[in-house]
Amino acid sequence: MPLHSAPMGRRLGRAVGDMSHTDQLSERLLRLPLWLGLEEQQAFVIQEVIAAAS
Amino acid sequence: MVIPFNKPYMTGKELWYVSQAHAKGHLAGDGAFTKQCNAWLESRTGARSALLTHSCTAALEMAAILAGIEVGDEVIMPSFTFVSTANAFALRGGVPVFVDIRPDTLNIDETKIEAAITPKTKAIVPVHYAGVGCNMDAIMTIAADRNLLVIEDAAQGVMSSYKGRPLGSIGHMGALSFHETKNVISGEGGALLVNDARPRSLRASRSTISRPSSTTCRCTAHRWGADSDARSAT
Repeated sequence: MPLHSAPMGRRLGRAVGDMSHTDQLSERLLRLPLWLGLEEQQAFVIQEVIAAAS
Repeated sequence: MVIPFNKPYMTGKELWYVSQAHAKGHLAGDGAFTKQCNAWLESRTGARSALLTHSCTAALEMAAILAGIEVGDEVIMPSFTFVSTANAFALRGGVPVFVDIRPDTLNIDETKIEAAITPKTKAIVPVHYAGVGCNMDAIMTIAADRNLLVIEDAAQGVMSSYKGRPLGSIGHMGALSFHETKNVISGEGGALLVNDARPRSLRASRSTISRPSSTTCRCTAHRWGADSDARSAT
């Protein structure tokens, strides 16, 4: 959830203008593993992401 | 198969350095290693003063104190960021004012900043998402025109640059992270970069930042004298 939509963000701050890029991104964002040495397992990660998306 | 989200990268020298600190009997901050890190950061970034902190969150909170953020002061930032970006200023009573991001870099949309400025605006906090620099030329121009401070949230920007300038060294202050999930790590840790690029009106004011003597950064004694000069200009 982006900060401007979070309860504390709404209470303590405010948004100015259209926030559509932030809103759209927050609905689509998927954090994936990424670290040095992941190479050995990255084929598995990619395979699982594709399987989940299709 | 369980794949961890993150695995910290180790160089192999960590325990050797820890044992050196242990042998010297100095385990708190501001020891030989802190001084080496600060000096390295200063030489790499060109910051007037680089100070290791316990986290990037701590560096942002110190920056908010140094910026003199008071109740009701507005701080413009992207909504697409870690909560510490906003918390640091909200803790001082500041009001985070969120603007949208650019679809290409996912960084703050510099063209939306002007519309968010009010007489209460005190600072802009660009967040360099994933180590890609915000449009700092445009942001620094707006800040200079409107007499605002720029505090870079460069948590993901260590050793990244914008037009050849290290991220965190372009605004008036910058905050770096060495959290375990970053490329260069210390477990928990961060740094505050204090740069020497204050607008003339701020430079002319009475208060100045001097180099704190401890990594805990005795900020309250060294506040940026932004109030009178900067506010009267807007």
